[in-house]
Amino acid sequence: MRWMPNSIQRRLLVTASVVLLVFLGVTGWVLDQTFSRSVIKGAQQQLQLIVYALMGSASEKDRKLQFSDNLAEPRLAQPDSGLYAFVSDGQGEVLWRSRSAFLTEVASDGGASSVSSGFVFSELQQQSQPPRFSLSHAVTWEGLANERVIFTAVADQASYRRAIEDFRQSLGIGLGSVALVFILVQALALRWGLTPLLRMQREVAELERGKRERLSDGYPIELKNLAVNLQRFVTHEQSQRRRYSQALDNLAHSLKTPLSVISNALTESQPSAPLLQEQVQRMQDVVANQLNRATLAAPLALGSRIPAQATLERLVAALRIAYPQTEIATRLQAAGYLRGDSSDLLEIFGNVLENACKFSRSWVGVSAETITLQRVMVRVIIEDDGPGIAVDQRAAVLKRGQRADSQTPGQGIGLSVAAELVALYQGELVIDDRESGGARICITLPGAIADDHESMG
Amino acid sequence: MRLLVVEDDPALRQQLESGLSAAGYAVDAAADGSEGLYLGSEFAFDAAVIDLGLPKIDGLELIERLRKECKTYPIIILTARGHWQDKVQGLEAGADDYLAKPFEMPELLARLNALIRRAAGYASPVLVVGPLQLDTSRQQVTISDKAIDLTAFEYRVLEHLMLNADRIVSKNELTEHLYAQDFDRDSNVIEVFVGRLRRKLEPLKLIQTVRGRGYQLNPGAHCDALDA
Repeated sequence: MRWMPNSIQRRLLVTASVVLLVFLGVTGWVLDQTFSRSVIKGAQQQLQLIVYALMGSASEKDRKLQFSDNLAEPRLAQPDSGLYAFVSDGQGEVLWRSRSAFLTEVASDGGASSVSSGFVFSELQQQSQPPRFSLSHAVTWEGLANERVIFTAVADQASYRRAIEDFRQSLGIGLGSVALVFILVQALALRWGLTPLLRMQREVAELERGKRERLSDGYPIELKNLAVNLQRFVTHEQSQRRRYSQALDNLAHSLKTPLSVISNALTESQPSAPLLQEQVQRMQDVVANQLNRATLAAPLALGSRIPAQATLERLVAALRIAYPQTEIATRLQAAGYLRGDSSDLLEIFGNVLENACKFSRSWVGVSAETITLQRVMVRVIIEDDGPGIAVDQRAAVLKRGQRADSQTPGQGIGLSVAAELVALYQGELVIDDRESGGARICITLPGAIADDHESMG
Repeated sequence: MRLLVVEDDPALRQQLESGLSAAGYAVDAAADGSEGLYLGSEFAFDAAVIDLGLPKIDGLELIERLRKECKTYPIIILTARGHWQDKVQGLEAGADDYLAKPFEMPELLARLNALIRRAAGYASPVLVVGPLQLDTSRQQVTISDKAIDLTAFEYRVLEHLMLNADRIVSKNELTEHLYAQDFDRDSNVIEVFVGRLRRKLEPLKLIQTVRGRGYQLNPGAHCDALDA
């Protein structure tokens, strides 16, 4: 559809114009036809009157017809007036002709000689003669030698045609101006109707150039949802950008300290290896923490619906490969659906589960269920039989990563990454003790209701 | 123990090669996926270290294709991004373990050790044949709790024999697993090493020569030795 104009305004305008032109065309044609027909009808009636007048002025004398020249129509007496009359007998011999026809060659017959009786109307199109209308009427006149007499009236078409032309002209002017006005109004209406779109276009461009923070309110209902979604997207993008720049800031900041320690150490004649190692470790922690955090996808609006059981089972299957000595028990039948980005969710559960596997003696348990508080949530509980996490360390374990140089022995940075993501999803991650020893991590995340057909099936 | 290393970064590849060689492994290194696929399917390895982001053939695909060719040796993947999506996909493709960059050599060595041992069917890091104990995590050999001093190469020979204690190991197989591809192979060298190893393990007559076929550990040997 390359020929289609790539503009809503032009598309609507083209469509409306085509419809308008077809409508006006058909209207014009119908009006023209009707008018032409009525003009010709008028001509026929006029000729009929003349025939009647002719018949009225004829009288029989000595078995012959006689005509008085005092006909009501003065044009018949005027030579070459465009209106002619004849009377002929059955053999086609002209008995009488009007004065107007004395100098003008007019086909008098009109094909009417074959007519037995009644009126015959026809259009004469003969070479070397202007087009004419002709009306013949054959009668049987008793008492005449030849009883069959044909009265014929002939009129030039020119005046009638001129009337039709005049009508056509004014019709064209009228319809044309209607079309023009209509298209103008249509274009204005389109402009008016599309103003919100143009406004949105302008505002998005301004957003892009950073001249504007958010879209304005008051879009018409057709665009409201689009505007709201766009705004959500823009806000998300802005916060993502802020997170990136913040993360980069932090990264630069946190890397500069160990870097300067290293470069200072290198100026010494014998740099201490443990010191260098410590600084490198510090830098590695910084990279792992802050870079990881910056690349987290973060939930855009509500995210999509993701089956919790399948996600967790996929992870458990993978971890069973990596930790074959650990028994991972699952209870996931009632897990339901999560809302979010699947790689974020993998990140959350992967980090917590890996942690559990790392610190467990031989057993890790995963269970999940959908619960309904104010809204639908999925609660995932990951337990292990390891040493657990001491109460006074719990806050530090979750906060780790916010301060790259703080070291919490025993736990990787996995838990803090998971906790941060959970917070982004407005969920909750709680560290607890398992009754029979070990850690118990309880993660609550926004859930989703199953589709109707799925819950019924 | 012969290892395949597929890593496109030359500096890291060099480090892996030297670090793993220093730990006594024979290392074949490939710089891209297709070279990795060639080496990985042509030669007998005990384990492979494969980076996920590789030119020509991607790491994931490389692992899948090696597994499709029935190569069962353990594979450990290196991921730069450390995202769980990558780790899970790698494990699903057929890898056995993962390590996120930046990693440290001791960590990689420990993982490799565990993987190779696991692949041979040992759950514990300490391999035991009679009074002989081989601690793969500390690379230490003891007979009745007395430490035996072995060179890295002797250690690898013994480790390979112990990991395959249930069958005969041919000289050819030992050469394959102990030397990298471009090493000059001479079966006499193996005989020399086995001879030295035998002397160090005396009075145990643990390593038996199966004429014309190779070597096998004899778990019953210690009885004779201790009884004698």
